[in-house]
Formats: sequence, C-alpha cells, structure tokens
Amino acid sequence: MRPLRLAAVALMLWGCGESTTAPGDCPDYCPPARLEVVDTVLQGVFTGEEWFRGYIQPYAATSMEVVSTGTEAASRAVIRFTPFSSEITIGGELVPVSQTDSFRLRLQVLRRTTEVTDLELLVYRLPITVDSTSRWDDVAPYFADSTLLASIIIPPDSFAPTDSTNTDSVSVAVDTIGITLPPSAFPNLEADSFATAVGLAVRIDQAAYVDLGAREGTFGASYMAWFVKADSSGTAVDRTESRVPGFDSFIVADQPTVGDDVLAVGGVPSARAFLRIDLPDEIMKFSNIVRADLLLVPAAPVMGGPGDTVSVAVFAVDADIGPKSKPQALPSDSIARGYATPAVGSVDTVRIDITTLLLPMQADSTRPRTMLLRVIPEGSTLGQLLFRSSSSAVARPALHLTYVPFFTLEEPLP
Amino acid sequence: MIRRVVVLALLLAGIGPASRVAAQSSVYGVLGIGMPGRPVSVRSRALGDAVGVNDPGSAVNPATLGLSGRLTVSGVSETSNRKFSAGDVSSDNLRDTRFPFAIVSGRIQSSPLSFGVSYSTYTERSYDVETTDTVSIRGVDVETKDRLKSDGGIADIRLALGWSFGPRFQVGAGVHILSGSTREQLQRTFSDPVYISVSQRGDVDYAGWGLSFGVVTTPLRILRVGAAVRRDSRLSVNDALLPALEVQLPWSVSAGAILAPVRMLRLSVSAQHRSWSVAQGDVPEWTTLTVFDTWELGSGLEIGGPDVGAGRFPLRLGFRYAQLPFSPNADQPREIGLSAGSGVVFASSRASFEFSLERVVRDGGGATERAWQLALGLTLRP
Repeated sequence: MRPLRLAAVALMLWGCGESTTAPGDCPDYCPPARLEVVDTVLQGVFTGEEWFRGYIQPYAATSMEVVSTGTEAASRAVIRFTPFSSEITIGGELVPVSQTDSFRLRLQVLRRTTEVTDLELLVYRLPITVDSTSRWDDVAPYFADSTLLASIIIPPDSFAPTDSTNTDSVSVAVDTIGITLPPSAFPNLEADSFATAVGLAVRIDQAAYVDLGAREGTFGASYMAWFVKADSSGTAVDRTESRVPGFDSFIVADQPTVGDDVLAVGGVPSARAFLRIDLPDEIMKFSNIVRADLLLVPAAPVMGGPGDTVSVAVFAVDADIGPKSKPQALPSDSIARGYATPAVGSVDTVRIDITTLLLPMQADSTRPRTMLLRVIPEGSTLGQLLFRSSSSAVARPALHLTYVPFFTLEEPLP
Repeated sequence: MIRRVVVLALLLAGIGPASRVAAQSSVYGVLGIGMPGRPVSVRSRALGDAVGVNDPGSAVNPATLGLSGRLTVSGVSETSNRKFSAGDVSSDNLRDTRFPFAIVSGRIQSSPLSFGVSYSTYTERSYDVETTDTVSIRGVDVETKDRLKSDGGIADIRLALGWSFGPRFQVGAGVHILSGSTREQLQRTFSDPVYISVSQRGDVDYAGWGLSFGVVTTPLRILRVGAAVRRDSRLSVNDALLPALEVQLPWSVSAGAILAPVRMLRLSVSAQHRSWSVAQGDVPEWTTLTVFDTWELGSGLEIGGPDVGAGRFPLRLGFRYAQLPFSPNADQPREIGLSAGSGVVFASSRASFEFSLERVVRDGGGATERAWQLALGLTLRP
C-alpha cells in the first residue's frame, strides 16, 4: 500500500496549482467576437433642465469673499460682533469698566489674489444695525474715509504684511491678521450697548479679491478683543474681553440678470442647476461605459474674484424632488472626477468627468437620472457660471461618451 | 479495504485544487463549439481509445451494456500539463484538472437487459485568454489588456439500454441529452486610468439531444467486433443578449475490434467518423472558421492482467490519431497520442484503480500543442 500512498502524494503535487491563463493569438485563436470601443459626442440627451437660486445665503457661508470695486462682481464683508459687557469680573465680583485702552480685530485670510503686491484690506466702522437684509446701497455710505479704521497690505504669499497707517499696530501670524484699533474706533460703544460692527473692503488699482474666514467655517472666524482697565479696590487692573461675530456676511453689488436659455450655477446666493439625462437603451442596458464627460459651454465669461478659479461639481441625487433634491457625495476615486475648475473670465467649454455618476445609473434603472451642478464651496464665493441650456439655439450641453457595447462570444458560432 | 478506497478517492478528487469541473484543455478549444470530448474509460484511454466501441466501461456503443454483469460505478479524473504556440504567442506549463467521464451500469436483475447512465464531455469550451492591443480613443493611443474567460462546456448525458442475446451478440440503444452552459467573463483594462475597466459576465446555455444504436458480436472466442452509429440534433445556443442560434451536430459512426491471439495478449483497433462539416452552413460568412469532418483511429495492445489470469497488473499501450473539427483556416488540425497505463483490482474484485499517461501532440491550423495527460479511474462493483 505504501507505493500507492506515495503515488497519491506525488500526483497531488504534480496537479497542484491550476494555471490556465494563456496569451491569445488573435484573431485565429481568440474568441471570435471582438471588443469595440465607441467614442461619440451625444447632443440632445439632456432634458428637463432647470436652475434655482437661494441654497446658501452669504451670511451662512463658510467664508466671505471681498472683491475690489470696479469689477463685474464687487463685494464687501460686514461683521457684527456680540456685545461686550459694561462690567467685568475681578475676584469674583463684577466691576465696571473704567477705561478703554484699545481694540484688536483678528481676521483669518483663506485665499487671495496672488499675482498682486499692493492688495490693501480696509477696515471701516459700521452701524450695529447691519444684518442680513442690508444691501450694497444701504452700507455704501459707511465705506468712507470718515469711518475708515485701518488698512493692511495683503502680500501675495505667506504673510509679512505691513499696516500702511501704523506699522506698530499690526502683527500677523500665518494667514492671520491682527489689527489694533484705538479707543476712538467705536465712539458710540456705550450707546450701542457695547456692540461693534466693521466692514471690510479691498482697495487696489487693479481687480483682486480676499477670502476671509466666517463663523460657519472650519478655518477660524474673526473676533474682536477689547482691552480695558477696571478699578479693583482702588487699583486699575488690565483686562481683555473677546467677542466672536454674532453676524457676518458679504454683500455683493448687483449681479447681471440671467437669460432664459441659460443655466446658472454658483453666485450669491448660490444657484444650482439640474440636468436630466436620457440615454438610449443600447447604451444604458447593453454597454459598458468607460468614460463620460459632460460638456457645458459658458454663455458668459466665468464670474468671480479676479484671478480666482471656480470649482463646479456634478452630483447624483438620492431622489429627484425638484429643487430640494439632495446631492449625493462624490464617489471616491483615485482619479479626479466629477468636477472642473475653470478660471474666472474663461469662456472655454467646461468638461466634467461624470463616469462614476453614470455607472450606478446604468446598474440600477430605478436610480434617478438627474444630475445636480453646484459650486464648491457653495455660497461663499461670487464665482458663478452661466451655461447654455438645451433650449439654447447653439452650444447646448452634450455628453462625450466612450463605451464598449456588450460583448458576446457566440456571434460566429459554431 | 476502506483505507484503500480512501486513498484512491484522494487520487481521483485531490489532484490539484480542481476548482472547476472543466478547464482549458487545448488551444483548439477556443474554436467553434469547443474541443470534442472522449466518452471513454481510463482503460480505453490507455489503449488509444481503441477498445471504446467494445468497452462496457465507455459510452461509445450502447450495445456494450449487454456485456455488463454486476452493478458498476466508475469515474475518471484527468490532469493535463501542456504548452502551445500559435502565431506569435506561446505559453507553457498550463495545468488543469477535469472530470470528463463517469458511468453507472449494470444488469437489470437476471434479465438479458442492462442499463447504463453516463456523463461525458461532448465538447469543452473552457479557456482563459489574455490579449493586449492598442486602440485610439479621443485621438490618443491607449493600450488595452483583455482577458476573455470561458468556463464550462456541453455535457453528454446518456441513458442507454443493452440487450444480450447470449455471449455472442448484444445490441443497444441510447438517448443522449446534450446540456450545459459556459460562464463567460470579459475584462478589459486601459493603460490610462481615466477609462474605467470593463467587466462583463454572462452565461450561455446549450441544449440538444441525440440517439445512438450499436451492436457487439463475438463470432470467435478470440475476436470481438462492435459498431455504433449516433445521430445528434441541432444544438441550440441561448445567449441572453442574442437571438437563439442553432448549430447542426454530426452523425457519428464507430467500429472496432479486439483480437486475442493468445491468452495474455489483446490487440484492439477502432475507427470513428464524425460529419462535423454539416455545421459549416451555420457559420457566419464573415468568419474564416472552417469545419471539417473528422476521423479518429486508435490501436492498442494489452498484455496480461487479472482478467486473463496473467499477472496482477496489465500493461496497456495505445496509439491514437484524431482529426479536429474546427480550424481558423483551411488546414485541419490533428492530434496524435501515445499512451500507456495499467490498473489494479482489489477488494475481492469489487474495486479497481486504473491510470493512463498520454503524450499528445496537436498541430495544424497555425498552432502546435504538446500535452501530458494523466487519467485516473476508480471503479466500484458493490
């Protein structure tokens, strides 16, 4: 029996590890049907296009974009801080503030025009009545020399800024501005119930912008510090109180009206566009999509901060319930898909890879074939794209599609 | 007894991971409806298929069931190691394991009637092919790598009856159910990762039937002659993505003889003709696939063995020549096999283990192939 056992082991070893993959000599010794790659640009596959504005209001945005005047899209930031208290706590007792030494305004700069060297950020005193209903013309009188509190030069790269009015009063951490304001900066502090409000504008000979952190953002909002003295048992004691914004926003000059045959995306308040795709069954049911690009032709130059870019992304939706449809998260992919970042002023066709959006629609016919376009980050930029819609006479949205029709091995039988 | 059977079962079932019932057996299996199978026992394989038409352990001739006595169950496992070259490509050390044949047969009580149920591979369409190419997409050349894989084939399930008119003459008839499917898989990857890889799977189902008739006669004590004829229907091919296709399957005519001039020596020869070319009309005109009729010739020499009371281990030698039905051009492929084998009977003749080792050389149609094929068989007679 021993030889039989040895034979069993030897034969098992001989047969171990199946290996069947072999190169093919095509066409003779390959499966007869061949793969075909189809590359085409499809017009007229988008239906039911519409757009809506008002998703993110500027006071709810994660940052505030301040753009110089004289451009197509000028804007100013407004901040109202929560009120200070007329009394401060010393040794467990409330003691009235006896003297204001100074104020210090801290701002967080997120982005700015990098090609300019004389970008100047101006700080103005505003009435504390500023709120979400305030419009450009309402606050314009307060952006005057009489209410100018300070100015600072924003360098193109990492900060080494200087205050054009008082060098000693400015100190800056990385991307953080600290501006010291004199006691007279807010002369009506007590009458205003110890509340403060400032306006921020950009002054430069050319077009430029600055993005400032807002209280809804994750990169740090501004705050106002109040340096005071209080009488503690006959001794003047230094104390500092800080307040965060109770309201911050940015106010935009009037934006151009949008035509009927145009889809708006972005802007202030933010707008979203919806596209519904209707592809033939031979593609959706009987092919493998390997790449799909959405082609959108701007109806006007991309609007936004001068020198800036605007990121526009395409999302699938969980359910198509019109303007309230919620976007799904962009699918994770090692390749950057689903968005494009055209430069402000560009009129080039915007091409967005939507392959990973179409594939789930192809796999599940019950999924809504609706795509949502919005800018990223939404609501915190003036960046706006106006695309031609399918009702436009020319340059309608199109789909550049590359697909492989379903393969079958049986065509040339036997 | 139990230990021996366990070891033999290990030999049969344990050779390699054998994750699939069928795997790629030949480069020629890519063509047409695949590589024709061999519904024969390990003994017949060792003898170059020469005894198949006279062998009750094979499923070529239903009349051989009339030679059956006790209930018999047997199965075959086959492992191959092969290499091939076709055009500019070549590959070696390709290994796979299959279970191409099994049969249950026996006499119905003490009547002259015997039955047989067998499974065999009619054709095998298992392959796993990789190709590379360059395609132009959006004006840029992109390299592609395709993997085309097919697992499965067409099974031949025979239900047969044999009638023995005595020790000298038997007849039989069988019904063949042709059934099976291939699981086909395609993968394409692009060198540029912006293009999503393609992956597609699908099943193709096959269905058909056949009838076979045969006779076996033993006019002399030293001579046995058998003949069989088989008619197969049109094969329907059902792919979910295409209208149903049909392919005409061939007539098969087989004949063979076994001569025992001396007690310990048996010579055998056989021939089979199959009219595969009737399928040529079902080949689309745009393809260059050519379908040929085939001849298969076999001869074998068996020396000794317990059947003839001459030693415990018979020595079997065989030579086989076969034409293959499908070719990508006008050159018909063929194969030549040289085989050797033996077997052992144990457990009071209630079980036997057999093996054959075959060296196969195939060429023609622009390809050449060399293979070692090891077949193992276990037969139980409870």
